[in-house]
Amino acid sequence: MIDITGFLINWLEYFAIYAILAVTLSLESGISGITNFGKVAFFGLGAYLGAIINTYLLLAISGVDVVKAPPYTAEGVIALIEISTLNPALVLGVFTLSILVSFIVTGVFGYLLTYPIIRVGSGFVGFTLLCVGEVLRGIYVNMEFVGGTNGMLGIPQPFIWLGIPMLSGLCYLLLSVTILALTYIVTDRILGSPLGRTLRSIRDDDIAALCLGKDVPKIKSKIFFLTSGFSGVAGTLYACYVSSVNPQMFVTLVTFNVWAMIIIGGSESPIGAIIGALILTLIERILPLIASLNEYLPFTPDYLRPVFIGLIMTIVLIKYPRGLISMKPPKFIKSAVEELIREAS
Amino acid sequence: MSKEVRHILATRNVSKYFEGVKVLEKVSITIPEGGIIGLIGPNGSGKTTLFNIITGFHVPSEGEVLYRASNEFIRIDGLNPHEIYRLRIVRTFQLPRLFHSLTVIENLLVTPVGQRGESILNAVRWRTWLEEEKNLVKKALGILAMFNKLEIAFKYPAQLSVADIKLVETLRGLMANARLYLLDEPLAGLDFATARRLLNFIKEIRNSYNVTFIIIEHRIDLLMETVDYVYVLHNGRLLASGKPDEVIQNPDVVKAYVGE
Amino acid sequence: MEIYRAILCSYVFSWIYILSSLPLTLSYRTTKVFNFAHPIFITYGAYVVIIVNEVLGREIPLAVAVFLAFVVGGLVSLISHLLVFKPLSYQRVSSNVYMVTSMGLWFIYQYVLYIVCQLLTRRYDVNFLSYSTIEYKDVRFLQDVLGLNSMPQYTITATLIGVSVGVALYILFNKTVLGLSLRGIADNASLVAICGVPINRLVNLTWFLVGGITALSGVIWVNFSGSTTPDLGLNIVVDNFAAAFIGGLYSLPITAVASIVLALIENMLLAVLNYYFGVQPTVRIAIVFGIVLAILVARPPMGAGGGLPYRFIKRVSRK
Ligand SMILES: Nc1ncnc2c1ncn2[C@@H]1O[C@H](COP(=O)(O)OP(=O)(O)OP(=O)(O)O)[C@@H](O)[C@H]1O
Ligand SMILES: [Mg+2]
Repeated sequence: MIDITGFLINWLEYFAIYAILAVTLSLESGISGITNFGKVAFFGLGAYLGAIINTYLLLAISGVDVVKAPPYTAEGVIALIEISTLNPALVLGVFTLSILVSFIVTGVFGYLLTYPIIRVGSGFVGFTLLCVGEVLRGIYVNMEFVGGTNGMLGIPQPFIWLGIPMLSGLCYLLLSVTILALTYIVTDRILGSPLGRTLRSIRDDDIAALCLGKDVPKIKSKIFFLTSGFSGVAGTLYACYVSSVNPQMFVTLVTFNVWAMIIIGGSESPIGAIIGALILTLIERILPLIASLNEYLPFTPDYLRPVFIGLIMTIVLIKYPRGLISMKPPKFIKSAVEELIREAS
Repeated sequence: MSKEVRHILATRNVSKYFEGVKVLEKVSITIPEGGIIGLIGPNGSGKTTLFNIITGFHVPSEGEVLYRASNEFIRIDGLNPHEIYRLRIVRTFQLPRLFHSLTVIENLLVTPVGQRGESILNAVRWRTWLEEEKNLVKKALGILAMFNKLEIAFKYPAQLSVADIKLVETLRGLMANARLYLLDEPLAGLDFATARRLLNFIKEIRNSYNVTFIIIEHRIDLLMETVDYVYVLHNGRLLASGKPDEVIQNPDVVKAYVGE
Repeated sequence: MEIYRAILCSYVFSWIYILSSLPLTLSYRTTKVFNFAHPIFITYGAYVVIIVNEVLGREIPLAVAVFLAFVVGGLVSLISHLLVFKPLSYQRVSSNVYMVTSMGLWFIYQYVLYIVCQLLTRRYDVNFLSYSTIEYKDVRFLQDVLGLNSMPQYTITATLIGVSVGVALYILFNKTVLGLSLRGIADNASLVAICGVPINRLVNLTWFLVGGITALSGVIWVNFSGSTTPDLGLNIVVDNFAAAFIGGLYSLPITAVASIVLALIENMLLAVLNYYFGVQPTVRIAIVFGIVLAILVARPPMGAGGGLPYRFIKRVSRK
């Protein structure tokens, strides 16, 4: 028997996390023209930050000697489980802190990264950011205190003390959806504002925008701060949800998945990004359910997914290069202007 | 002229080489404030390149560009294009560069610099920028109405005729509250009536705001009726300058245009 | 001893990088698109050799390997062009869309290969997902004849392939009409079209050459590396693009020199870091990335691939 509620919570949780990534990617790449092929770098950085804060800090505050029982060992994990079930206030407090820290640190990381890439063409930008993802992964592998190749386990889910897995999952889902809603509202408002207009003008023709007085590098850097920050938060949410991080989780394939989401939905609209995330996470969550497929297929169904997604993406791009949902001028401006036109004529 | 002339812009011995090829050679021009100045010359004589240098698009290989900001002259060569724009020098492009995913009205609305709603913090709170936005919309509609082009307000550049694209490119420049406008062939492709109207509009703006125009144009007949003073470029060098009728009669200029 | 090995590695990597980044630059010049699927040609070149080697009972000669890799790499490249990039160009999309599509292609090819490898692993009972080194019989014979048995085989293979491709390309591009028109297309397609050159067919040929030559670095790779995996391309992509960057996506000689310099710096530094600090080879990418960042800050590649006329250092003076 399939556990429907459990499946729904699980799917929607993945959806919320990926939708944050997709919405921010549509803002930075679809609308502002920063070709971010390194989305996973910011996602992964946020996840690792979340993992570090939610384990090391938690242990340290609770008086466990992190040198003797670091969180990537069995003793550390046992201590973490104990603390997270006994001390709700502390767990929630540390979790909130980790969200804030990963927003700021990842955001600043993104902001600094724009310095070398902001003047060059989109191909160079995409490539450089792609490298950043791989470089960070190489660093995680070489860092002993985050568990090296094996990564870390036992990152406490902040609502675990509720005792009932379903309930704590639901609480966490609510929290994630709230953050997604916040991301969406911010993105949507930016799109409908003069800033959104400026961003689209920069994407269309950055040289003309520069000649029209827009400080293109600065505007892009600021937007990249914002979107990277939100991606970092998504990473923290992810790390605490699956309770573990390891370098294999943050491969370029993740970036590619998020790109597929915004392409299916139409890369210029945040609603499209959300719909894309909904569809692709559903596919992704259903595939493991069909585990019986394993017996009939002579190969791992995991390999089929990227091929499948890649095919959808390529076909969509060839048939509808602007995505399935295309952007219209912001409604507010349109109605206000129409009113004024009526007055004028 | 009895009143003493104030200058707003001057280039001093500006030269520009592209990979060793000399495109401009020691060009010095001075632009009086409140004037409408023509810049003419055969194809490839370096007019657009001079604009590119004044607006920070290119850095001159030699020489300097001076601009009067408030009461003193500053050197503006080497500044970035957007910084020069903020000194209120605005240019239009010879080959129109409209933003293709913005409607005509949005293209006009992009231009004004330093809009309140352009910062992230204000953008998310629409009350902070609504008022300003409405005023800008009114202004843009006013300009479009003047050319009987209200119906294209919501069209995308791809849906416009070539002449309309050119017109919008120029009008977009005129949306900015500039002190110095550099218009690169604003009349190209326009029908006679619209061209006239545009020139009249330019004069009107000049008379009411005391701003300055430099206009590159190949339609010399129309241009000469409007401008106060003309510079002629030929093969990257300043060939002649003077009042329109003087320049037209200058044998060197005639020779440059007609050929040997 | 360490230093000797590092030098040999630099030598082989130089050829691998040259053989893959020169075509990359060429394909950018022709299509004005970053093809992120480019490293797939290396992977496919390597794998066709591996697969045929197993089928032949591990007796593959270099000549056959080169031929197969060239044809398969070329076909993969040509098919990508005909099925994806060409239809896309009719849509007049932005270069971003091209890049995303090429990224999609990359993953399709890579995971199709994973599936194929898994199927073959079951069939032949050999681990195709991480394959060991291949010895080329004819190169071994050549070594015996010439008395070069003390040299590792991969140095010979790399030299043979590298030099012959270099000579062939030089002759093609400088001495034949075909090569001249290919070069013309890379620089100004519409101008060449006016001269009555069948541009479509030549673009197809360019894609074929690009894929074929790139695949040859896979032939060297399987002779050199102890473990070939289907994500082989990912490990080389960074150096590839870095070298092409330094060449400004335009100059073939600079790209070639950049490949050599990158291979040298990388392998020497890696050897040193590994010897003194025990660092794992995964930092290879970090080294190249450092170089890329330095280039982006010091001398951003403007012209090709777009870029802003934006200067961080300004000069304002009052008069
Ligand atoms: N970025 C560049 N690189 C190399 N050469 C250039 C560049 N820009 C302009 N040129 C060359 O400089 C010369 C002058 O060009 P420019 O565009 O300034 O002429 P123009 O006077 O505006 O001509 P037109 O009337 O046709 O617009 C031309 O020969 C052109 O080929
Ligand atoms: Mg011109």
